[in-house]
This record gives sequence, C-alpha cells and structure tokens, in this order.
Amino acid sequence: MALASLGICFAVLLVMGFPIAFNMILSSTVYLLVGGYPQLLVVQRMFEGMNGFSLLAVPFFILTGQFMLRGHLLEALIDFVNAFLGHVRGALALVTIGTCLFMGSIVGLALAEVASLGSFLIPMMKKEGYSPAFSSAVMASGSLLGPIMPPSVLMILYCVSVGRTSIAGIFLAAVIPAILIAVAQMLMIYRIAVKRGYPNHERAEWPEKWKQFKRAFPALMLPVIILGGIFGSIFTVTESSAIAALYAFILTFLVYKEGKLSDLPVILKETALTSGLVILLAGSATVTAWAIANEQVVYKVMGPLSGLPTWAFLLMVNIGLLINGMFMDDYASVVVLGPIIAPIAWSMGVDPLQIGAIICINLVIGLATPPFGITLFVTSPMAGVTIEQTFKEAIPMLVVSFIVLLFVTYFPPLTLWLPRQFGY
Amino acid sequence: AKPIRISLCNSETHPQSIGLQLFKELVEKQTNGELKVNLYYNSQLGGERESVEQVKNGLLEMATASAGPMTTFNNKFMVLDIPYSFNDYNEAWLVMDGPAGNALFASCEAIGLKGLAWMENGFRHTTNSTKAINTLEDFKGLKIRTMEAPMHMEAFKNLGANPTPVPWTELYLVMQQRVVDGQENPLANIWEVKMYEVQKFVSLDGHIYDPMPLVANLDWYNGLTKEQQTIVSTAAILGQNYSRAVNAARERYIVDLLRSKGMEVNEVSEAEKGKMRAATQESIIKSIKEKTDAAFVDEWLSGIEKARKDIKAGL
Amino acid sequence: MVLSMAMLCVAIMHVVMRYVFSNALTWSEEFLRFSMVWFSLVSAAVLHHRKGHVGIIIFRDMFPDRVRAACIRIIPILEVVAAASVTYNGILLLLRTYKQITPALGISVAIPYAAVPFGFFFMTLFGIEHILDITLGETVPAREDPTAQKSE
Ligand code: NA
Ligand code: NA
Repeated sequence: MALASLGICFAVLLVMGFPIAFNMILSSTVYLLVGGYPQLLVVQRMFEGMNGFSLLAVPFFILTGQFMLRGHLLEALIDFVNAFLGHVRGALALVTIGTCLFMGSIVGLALAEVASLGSFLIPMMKKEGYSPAFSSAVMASGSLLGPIMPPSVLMILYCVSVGRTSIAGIFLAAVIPAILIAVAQMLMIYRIAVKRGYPNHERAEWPEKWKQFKRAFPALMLPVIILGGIFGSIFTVTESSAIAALYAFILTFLVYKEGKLSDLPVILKETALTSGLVILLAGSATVTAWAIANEQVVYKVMGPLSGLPTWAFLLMVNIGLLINGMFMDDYASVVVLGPIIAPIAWSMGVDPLQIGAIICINLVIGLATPPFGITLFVTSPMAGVTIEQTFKEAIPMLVVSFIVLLFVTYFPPLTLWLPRQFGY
Repeated sequence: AKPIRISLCNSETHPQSIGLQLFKELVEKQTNGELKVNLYYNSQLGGERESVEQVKNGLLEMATASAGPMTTFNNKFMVLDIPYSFNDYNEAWLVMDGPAGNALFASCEAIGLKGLAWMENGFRHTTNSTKAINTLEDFKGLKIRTMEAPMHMEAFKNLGANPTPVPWTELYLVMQQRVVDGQENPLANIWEVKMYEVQKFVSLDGHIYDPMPLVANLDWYNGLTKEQQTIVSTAAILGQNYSRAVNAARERYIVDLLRSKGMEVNEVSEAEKGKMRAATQESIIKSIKEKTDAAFVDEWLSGIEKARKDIKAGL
Repeated sequence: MVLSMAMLCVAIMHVVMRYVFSNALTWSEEFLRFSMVWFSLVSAAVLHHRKGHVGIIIFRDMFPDRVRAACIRIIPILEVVAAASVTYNGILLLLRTYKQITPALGISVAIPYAAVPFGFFFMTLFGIEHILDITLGETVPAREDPTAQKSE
C-alpha cells in the first residue's frame, strides 16, 4: 500500500516533469505518511546522504574541469593529439575523439567536455570540409568518453547511492572500456572518412611531436596526478580530487597565466551549481533508498528474477537501461535504478565493479540518444544542424559503443582485470 | 501490528546478527506472530549513529550500535572506552549484566532509549603489517587506524602509536595503500573484512571490550503490553547470550583460519597487558571524568572491581 | 564562494598533514563533510532559483496543450509543498537533536543539520516566486526547443 503510493506518486510526478530531487522527496514524504512513519526521516536521511567524505570529490573534480576548460590548455592538448594522429584520413575527427579521451581523464562530466571542446573543434572540422552534421555527431559521441574515462562524477554518484562498490575500483574498471570505445569510434570514423574523402594533415616529424608533447606536458600531468595518485595508492579519491583542483588552479593562473582572477567567481559559481544539483540528488535518493530498504523491495523483485540465467538478466538490464536512457537523465537514473539493479546483480554473482561499469557506461551512452540526449542538444546548435541530423550521423559511433558495452557485459576481464591488478 | 524493525550495521553472519535472528524467532513464536521482527543488515536503514537517532525519535523500533556512536547521545557510554578494563569475557559479561551495565542502560531512559541487551562484538585486538606486538614498546611509531573516537585515539597515543581516524568504509583501502600500518577491531570484523589480504600480524591485546547495546524506543516499549514486554526483554537477553556463545566459539575458529591465511597471531602476556594498562588507563579515566559524570565513572570502576572479586570468590 | 575556497584549503591541508607530517588531523574530515553539506544546500537553493534542477520534460511535452499547461502550473506549488515540509521537519529535527555532540569537532549536531532547513527555507521562498511567475502568470512557457538547452 505504502509502496504502491511511492511508486505511483513518483511515476506521476516524473511524467509531469517535476524535478527529480523534489520528486524523490515528495514521493518519499507521501510514502512515510501512508505508512505511518514520522517525517523527520526525510531530513535525517537527506543529511546523511549528503554527508559522505567520498561525495566531496564531486565539487573538486568539477572545479578541476572548470579550471582546465580555458583556452590554451585545450589548444595544446588538441595540437598534441594532432601531432600523432594528424596524418590519418579524417584526421581532425580522429583528433576530436583522441582529445576527448585525454580530457576525459581530467574532467568528470560530459557537458564540461562537450561545451569546451565543441566550441573549438566543431568550427575547425566544418572549416576543413566535414559536413556540419558529421562534425556535430563526432563531438557528441566523443564527449561520452568524459564520464566513462575516470574521473567520473556519475560513477561517484553511483557508488554513493549503491554502496559496496569502491570508487577507485570502478574508476579502474572503466579505463579499458573507455579506451576500447575510443578505438571503436575512431575505426568507424576512419571508415567513413575514407569513404567520403575527408582530409588528413601532414605527417608530423618527431621533433614536432616532441615540441607538442612539451607544450602539452603540464596539462598531461593532470591525468597522471589524478589517476596515478588514486591507482598508485598514494591518495584516496577525495584527496586526489583536491590535489587535482589545486594543480589545475596553479596551471591556469600561474603557469599558462590565462586565467584572470575575475574569472574566479564564474568558475566557482558553475562548480557550485553543478555540485548542488548532484549532491542534492544524492541526498534525496538516500531518502527513497530508506523506503526501498524498509519495504525490502530488492528481496521482492529478486524472487521472480532468480530463475533467470545471469546472461539474460544482464541483457535485460542493458536493453532496459538503453530505453531508459532515451528519456531519462543519467544522474537521475543512477540514483533511482542503481540501488535496485545492483543488489540483484550481486546476488546473481556479478562482480560489483562489473555491474557498476555496465550501468554507468550504458547510462552515459544514453546521453547521446534522442529524444532526450543532452550532448546532442549541445553540439547540434554549435554546428547549426538539427538534433535528428546529428543523431543520424552519430548512429554508427553509438552502435559500436554499444557493441563494446556488450563485450564488457559478457567478458568480465575487460572490466575486472585492471582493478584486480591493483588489488580491488 | 507494525513489525519491530531493527537496524544493524553488520552482515547476516556476524555474531550480533545471529543473536538477533534468535531474538526474532523467539519473539515471533512466543507472541504467536502478534509481534513481527524485521532485521535490516548492513546499515540499510542508516549508519550506527543515525540508526540510534532514528530509534530515539521513534522512526525505528530498535537498533544496535557500538559504544562510540552511543556516546554522542549519552556520554556516560565513554566508560566503555577505558582500555584494558577486563581480563577476559567472564569479567566483561559479569559487569555488563550486573549493576554497572544496568546503571548505564538506566541512564538512557532520560533520552528516550530503553536498553535491552548487550549484543556481542567481542574484544578489540590490534593488527598491523610490520611486526608482532608483544610488548608496550612494540606500539612505538605504528600508524594505527582507529574509529573517530577521541578516547580510542588518546589510548593509542599513550601506547606510543600514531592513531589515524579513518571511516569504516575506507578502512580496507587505507590498509592496502599502506596509509596506515595497522588497525584495531574484534576478530569477527578482522575476518569479515578479509584483513588477512592486507595485514600480517594479529596481536591479541584485547584493549577494549566492545559490546553493542540493543536499544529500543522507550515510548514504543512502554506501549507494549506487560506480557509483550517480558517476551521482548527475555528474548533480547537470550539473543545476547547466544551471540556471546557464538562469538566465543567462532573466535577460536577464526584464529585458526587467519593463521591458515598466512597471518601471524600472538597472545599478549598478562604482564605486558599490565604495562599497557598502566600507560593508558589513568589519563583516559581522567579525561572521561572531565567529560562526563565523575561519580558515575567511579561507580563503574568499582563495579568492575566487585565483579573481579566475585569471580575470585566463586573460584 | 568563501566556503568553497575554505573547503579546498582545508582539504589540501588534510592531505598535506597526512602525508608530509604523517599526523592526521582529527577534525578536518568532519569539517569538510559538514561544510560540503552547507555548500551543497546553499548551491542547490541558488540552482532552484534558476529553475536548474533536472526534471524529465520530454513526456509532458507530448501532452495536449491544456494538460501540459496544467502540469507546468502545478509543479511550482508541489515544489513549495515539498520544500516547506522539509524545512518544517528540519527545524523539528534540530530541536530534537541539538544536545548531541559531534565526535571530532565537539560541536552540536544542530550546526551541520541546520543546513537542511536553511537551504530548503530558501527553496520554499524561490518556489513561491515561481508560483507567482508561472501559476498566476498569464502565459505558460512554450514547448522547449531542445537545441536551446542550458549548458549547466
Ligand atoms: Na572523466
Ligand atoms: Na538519451
């Protein structure tokens, strides 16, 4: 009865377009009222949900990204990737994906990546004769690497809402899939580029490569600090996020000297707003999680599913999430669906790191699927095309990404081998 | 009627959980299903401190928590933080079940909590990755993870170690990354967290006895019929005793298992424990007296003395 | 803003003390967690002022005009109901718990807890503003052109 009221209330408010965080608060409030439980729980659970040391990494990683998105650093990074990939057909499109992968190891959000890189790379691609829709599609699919390659705000949110999953572990689990997706997208782009005769650049000689490397070096140190710090067992995730933010600050304001102190308020404001969004979601999801635990929902769902073979369950999860991703935001999905799907997968013997990687990668792909595909929304106007045009051009890249996801689903070493090397 | 919901932070197989499973069986059977009991393991409904707060505010019927989180509600629980108070389980149980333990529970009623029983978590021992701790001097310079409990930290400082508070969820990671050399926990936890993967030495110093009070919301408890109250409180005691028996039996077994996993387990001699006691107790008792009711602390200490005498007389 | 810079400084200090001086600060972790809660709730309130909390508008944009308009007008009212109830319960929780002391900083738990009613009080106010804007307003915003999405 109380559970039904929670579900119905949530669904109705969702369809109405009610903000997800408020939705979870209001439908949990209704649940508590119907179930006869005191309302104080809402506040107490919300506070505890926001009061985790791990969540502290969220504002710091966002801040790091904000520092890194200023001019010269990006150019240096693009030129560096170009020095290595420039001679191949479809050079600039490949460079876009390569740069996305590097930026992905610095920023934790797709939107930070797409907004900054897109404003550089889409006009450049158009100038070199790529069709606007293709340029937009390449950027939209490349930016998916942002939240797949660690660090990833989405994965932190996943670990906080689901529990039992180590943030550093899931970061490690996502590295190989991220690289595979980048390679798969590049191969697809190369095929299209050859067919359509997109241009390449001159082959850069080694002295040029060395020069570009030196120029990009300070920026390239950032992933080394973030990933090396976490994986080399020097820092915890939260600590490395703080160090990364400090390093990015020094880089932007003292080394490249392109940040102005007057930019600081904007940077901090952007950081604050995005963090507020994510952390409030984490808090309100904790309230709903209490209701789900109190009703022992997972046990109830687990019964009928227990007859299902694991492979069928995982296929169901993947297809279900893909459909969900067409309509739902990734953060909202992870806090709502993660705590239900993950425990069922655990009980079937799926490794927590693997199911975490599957869920997060799937939801990230959803960022580029219409009708609600946030990266399509950002790149399309930059290229001056419609969302449908971008999506049509993006289909090949999205299909190969999904195929990689299926490999990840059915071949656990892709996610588990690397974390196991580090003892997770 | 609504079920009795109990929040626990451990998994299904922890001794305290096993004790509460017996509690559930007894209560449901003896009330002919009139009272149902739901157990929520692994902090599903919230962490220890938070769960007790939920009980206090009537959001939950019952919860268990370690002494640390309990002190935020009732600082008399600090007496449980006095290191090297007990020589063995018999002493500890006699004190907890006797007038001293009852007085501690009685002091909870003022804040709306009814203490029912002391579920077993066992003695806390020290593990580390560099050397076996046989003497007081062996603590020197070791970086030991403790709970975020000021008295525990002070105790390890007094022993010459370097205490570092780390949240439970990050414990395995910091040991693996060698951020700390060691940590301290009951054997049940040492086994459950697979510390043998990241630690080499277990030294059975039993510095603190760590019971987990099972507390109920006082108003809810008073709302039960007399008969139900008797069933609930008796079942709680039986569950407590069962969890103690299970834990004691399991600890011997766990020691063997840890050895088979390559850990070196050593007993700390009574003489050395005496030195450790001398190094820590006085200053900690002093700080606890400053922070809470000094008369209560004295009463507690004499309770321990009396229990010790009773045991001797029994022999 | 000041809080976020302070958080960064304390976080760095936390790391430095732990590694360089191998002497953990007992209070820094708790301080960081509590400041983050305050920081997030204040930010969430500002974000609410800008109507920035994510909702899924795609379904309602499929509805006929009148239903859609009704949804849009009802939402701010429900937001105020939710925010006001959290504010009220937050104050109740403060009154019940202020005597508890946090383990590391030794302050009343009311200080961190207060962030919740504080943030949601402002969300209630901003929600009332949204009601005045939309629910009582003459026109309902047009169906959103997804290409005009904000870049939060
Ligand atoms: Na990333
Ligand atoms: Na989508």
